Amino acid sequence: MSTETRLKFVGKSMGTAVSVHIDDEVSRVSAKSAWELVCIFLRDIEDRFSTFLPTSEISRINRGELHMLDASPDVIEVLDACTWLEHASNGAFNARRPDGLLDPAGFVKGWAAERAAGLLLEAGLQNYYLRVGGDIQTHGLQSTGEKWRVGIVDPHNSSRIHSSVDVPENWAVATSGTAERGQHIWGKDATATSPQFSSMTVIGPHLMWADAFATAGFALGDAGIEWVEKFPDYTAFTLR
Amino acid sequence: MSQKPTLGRQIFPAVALTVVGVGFISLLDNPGGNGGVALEGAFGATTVPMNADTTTVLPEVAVDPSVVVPQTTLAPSPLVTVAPVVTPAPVVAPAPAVTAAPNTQQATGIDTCDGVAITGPVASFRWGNIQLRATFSQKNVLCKVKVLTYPSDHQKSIYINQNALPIYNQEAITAGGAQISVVSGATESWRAYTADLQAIIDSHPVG
Repeated sequence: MSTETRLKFVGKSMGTAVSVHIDDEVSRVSAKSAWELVCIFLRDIEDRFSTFLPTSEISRINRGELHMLDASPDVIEVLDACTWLEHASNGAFNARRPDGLLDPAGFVKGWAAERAAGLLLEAGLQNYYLRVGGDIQTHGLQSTGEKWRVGIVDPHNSSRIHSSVDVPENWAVATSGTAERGQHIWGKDATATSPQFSSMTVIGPHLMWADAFATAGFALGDAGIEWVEKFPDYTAFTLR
Repeated sequence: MSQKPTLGRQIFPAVALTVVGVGFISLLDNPGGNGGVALEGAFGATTVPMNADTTTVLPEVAVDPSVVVPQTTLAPSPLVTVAPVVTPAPVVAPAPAVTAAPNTQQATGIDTCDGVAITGPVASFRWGNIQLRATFSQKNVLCKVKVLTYPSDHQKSIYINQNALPIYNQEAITAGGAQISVVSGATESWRAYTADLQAIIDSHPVG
């Protein structure tokens, strides 16, 4: 590739930062329009899923104004996946808060990020990554021809990279850790166990599952790694 | 799911290799009064109890550079947690561990990667047997790790050896460096992001 410039976009969604880096040889205009698709999509997801917005579908379900099965197909898909995850993780993952209200935020972030990354592909891009919070969906390679290299943050010092992983093409990386405890890890074991590690990183082809498995795997504590590795193509490693 | 090879099965041996590597590095730390190689500075002090009687001294063997994982640095063992099926100490400790005599040559000004070579024991893991050889520089810094035996029936393990092996770095990597393209960590808030490594990477004009 002739250019070494990487087109970068940063925005804010779901309470955290969204970054897109594009290594294709495309004009800034077409990259920007792809990025705007991502922003519109994420805004729409926030409108429908956020428990902070009284008008969201989730809020309306929680108030009893909307039946789950009358929700939009995306909401049904997310709640369906959450139910499956809860069973698969023996309750370590739970889309209901202790007070019984629905809050699938722990799943929505990774799911929406993977969908958003798919929009970049539909827009004709091939080599990029999209990051929401600390969760990354990659596609293709860097302009240098190398795999995307993901640094894993030291859980005890967020200004330090502990290690790095070269991600296979089109794969995703997600990390869960003590930093997000109390935010959306309410699993029945989450407060009971004290895992021997401070963060869990999961690598796999889909960000929605990598993120969900990292969340549940972390909540499962010491049994988390083995649990994640039951799923083909997904692998976990932990930092103390 | 994807048709790609199972990364879980790919990375597993890699992490296992790391553990084995750390295991026999630990042996080095306590080579049964055999003129130990001081590694604390480079790897952190880790010690695996070992019976000196089981140590065998072998002549140094040349390392085939074509199969070497270049410049791989092994993590200090306390920092890496591995799946419960891997039990590093029990696997490594019951020797016959094979170690080479520490190189007594005086280190010159240039630190070349031709110092002590240590061959670890064959360790059995879920995916097969793994054996490593580590080469140290004249200044006793680990400079090469060669995989002598790995489960060749698993195509994935070869893939790991080449690419998917997580690189555990000893030193902090500065975020401005071109090495890291993106950072993964436990979810941070937008406010935290502004002081985050990713923010530095995002604002870096090139690279």
